[in-house]
Amino acid sequence: MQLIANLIRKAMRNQSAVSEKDLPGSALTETRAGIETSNAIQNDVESCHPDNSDTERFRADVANCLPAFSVIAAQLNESIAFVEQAVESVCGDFHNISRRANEVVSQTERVAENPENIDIGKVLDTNRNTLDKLLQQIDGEGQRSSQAVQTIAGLASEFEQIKTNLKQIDEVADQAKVVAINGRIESARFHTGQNDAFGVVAQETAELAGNSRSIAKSIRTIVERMDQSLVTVTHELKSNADVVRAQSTKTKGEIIETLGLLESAHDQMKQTCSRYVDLRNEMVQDISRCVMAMQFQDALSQRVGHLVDVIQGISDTIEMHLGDHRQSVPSNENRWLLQLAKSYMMNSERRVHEGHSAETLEDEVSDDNVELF
Amino acid sequence: MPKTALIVDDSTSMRQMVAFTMQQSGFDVIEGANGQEAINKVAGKSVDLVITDLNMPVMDGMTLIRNLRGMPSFKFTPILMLTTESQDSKKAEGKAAGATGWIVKPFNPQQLIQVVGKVVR
Repeated sequence: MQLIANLIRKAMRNQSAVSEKDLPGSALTETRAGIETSNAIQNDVESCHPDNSDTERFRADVANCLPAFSVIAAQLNESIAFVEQAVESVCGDFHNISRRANEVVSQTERVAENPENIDIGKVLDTNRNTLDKLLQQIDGEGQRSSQAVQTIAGLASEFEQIKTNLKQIDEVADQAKVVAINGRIESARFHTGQNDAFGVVAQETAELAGNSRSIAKSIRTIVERMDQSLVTVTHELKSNADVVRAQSTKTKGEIIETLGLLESAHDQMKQTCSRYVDLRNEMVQDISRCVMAMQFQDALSQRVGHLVDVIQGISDTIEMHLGDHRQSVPSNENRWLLQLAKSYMMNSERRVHEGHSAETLEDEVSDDNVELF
Repeated sequence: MPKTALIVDDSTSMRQMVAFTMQQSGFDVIEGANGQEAINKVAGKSVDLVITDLNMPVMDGMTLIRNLRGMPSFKFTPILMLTTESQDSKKAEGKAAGATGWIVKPFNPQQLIQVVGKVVR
């Protein structure tokens, strides 16, 4: 009897070494129930005296403890399996989190990578230089257009000179006409008629003056048309030059602004990539700490496994000592089994009590978990 | 203005997980390790939601619900029982005590947020 009490006390010491903070939810509940039952068994055993003549009653009480030991051991084993399954699931999720973080960083690095070691700043400067050269060429074209306008303006003065010469021709023609008229007058005065030499000269001179005047008039008309065309061309050339100059200045400003934005965006992207890499590394460290913390399951499994072994040993020892005297009440009247069953709150506990395996973790989570009244 | 949830559970880790879920949903959180502590913390106040465990020391969830329903400011507050217990008799008892709903652990955070969205105006 003393041996049995000592064995039970030893089991209690091992059980009390399990810290509650190591145990999650359902395992904690079941372990508490097991400890309470074991404590009650201990109290019963210690209250028995070696000299108690009611040996049969004692044997019956002890025999009734045996089924409870089996159930307690089964509940503890199922608790360990439940926790292990949960930890496995969580670790799988950690793996997925880590994989996704790595994928995000890899894609970001691919976007920002520079396999040919292209210096983006140098590329932007080259573009700015090319833009300046282009604008210089445009300015050069504008200057040449201005020179053409000046050349054309020079032609206008030539046309004025032509007009002056034509005017002189008109004056000569007028003077010739006057000479011709005088010749006719002198011819008429000396009664020599129109067929004499003087008259002929006068006649020819008059015709020559007339022709000169007509030719001068024609030339004048052409010159005036050309002058008008030159004015129009000059005006258009000047307008085009002004428009091109204004547009090129505006375009230069816009392109420079765009290049500046590109450079800024590139800098921001580099900073963002660097930050993503840092975040990924921090996440990896966080996950590592979580994985370390989740390893409580391994320590818990070992501790509870030791308890189960001892409980099984106690049960075997008791059964051995009882031998042929083992008599127990039916399980539905066994007060230890009834006490255990009364404490259950989960269907998985009840299933193990009935000799079945507990539900899997996935079975515990279903749409039936929620009921609104 | 953010809504407030009272979370009652004797397990620190469970309170943390529920609190994290509710904070992600925009709630401020008040925590209690048992029914009595919860009542002490909300005395003279009102909250928009109560989530409580069933089996707790000092004052269990059923007693907490009955006490809260006796307080004018909690007469119409949604109260959800979050517990490992799934027996129909216990659910009926919870309903009679004044619970708004019953959620069996382990809870799915997304599912909890949906349920809260249904019961909290």
